[in-house]
Amino acid sequence: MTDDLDRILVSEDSITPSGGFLASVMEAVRECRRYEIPIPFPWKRFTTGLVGGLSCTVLSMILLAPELSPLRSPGVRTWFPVPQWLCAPEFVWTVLVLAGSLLAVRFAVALTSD
Amino acid sequence: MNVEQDAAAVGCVLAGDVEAFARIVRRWQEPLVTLAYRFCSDRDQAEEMAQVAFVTAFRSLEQWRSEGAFGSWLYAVAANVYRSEMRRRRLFTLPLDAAHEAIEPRSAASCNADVDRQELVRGTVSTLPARYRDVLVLFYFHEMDVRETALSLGVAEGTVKARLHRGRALLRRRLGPVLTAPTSREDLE
Repeated sequence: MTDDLDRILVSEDSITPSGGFLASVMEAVRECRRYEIPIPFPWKRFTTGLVGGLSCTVLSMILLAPELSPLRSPGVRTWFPVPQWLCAPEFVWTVLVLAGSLLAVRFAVALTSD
Repeated sequence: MNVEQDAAAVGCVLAGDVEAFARIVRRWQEPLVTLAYRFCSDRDQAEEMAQVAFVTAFRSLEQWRSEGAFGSWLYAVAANVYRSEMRRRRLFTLPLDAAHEAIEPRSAASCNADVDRQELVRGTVSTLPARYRDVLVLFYFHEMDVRETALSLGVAEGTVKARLHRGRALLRRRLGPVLTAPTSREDLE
């Protein structure tokens, strides 16, 4: 009886794939590779954002809480001599206004260009 | 294509030549579709499952250790994919009457002379619990090689032998008189 079972199960025919099988598999493989190509990390944007964010933080601290400003801390001042005028609120406001103007001009140019 | 050519094709794919994978597919498409067919007994579904197996193999090609036979590794990947696919498809597509049939073994009385015995045996294998079905399918696919079956399933040879014994006993119990009954005119004469 076992021999009969073995004979039946071993004797199964092999299946020939349809004509388009190879092409279909290769298409799926190419698709898979396309999605696997890693997207490069946007270092340029990341660095710009980081510098911008840090600048905004420092400027905000100078404007809102000058005594907490890192540029006024003795540790920073001994390591990196910061001129007094750099910490003055007037200077910060001037920088902010100039940066705002620059952004407004770039925005306007971006809107009008193709 | 022999073992060295398999390794060369894998090397090319790993070096970035995706098209070299076609050589692997061309060589292994028939055995992989056949193995899938033995799991699902449906031609279209077998091709779909074999395609998933090839894509899975492509994605994990780096894991193949060249000291082992590429075919054994590919069969192991495919068997794993087919077992998962069978589990998934059974969960979502098994109709109620088929589910009932899977639980209730077919009686010998329902098999008339026109029923192909091979179809019946294959159908009954597919109703066995997955751990016995997988072992039986792979064991007979690998032409009754216990070692290859164990490699494909990622289990010990002893486990394969034990499951094989229980699976065949279960199959014999379910098929019973069908196996001993004569089916052809020659058998009757």
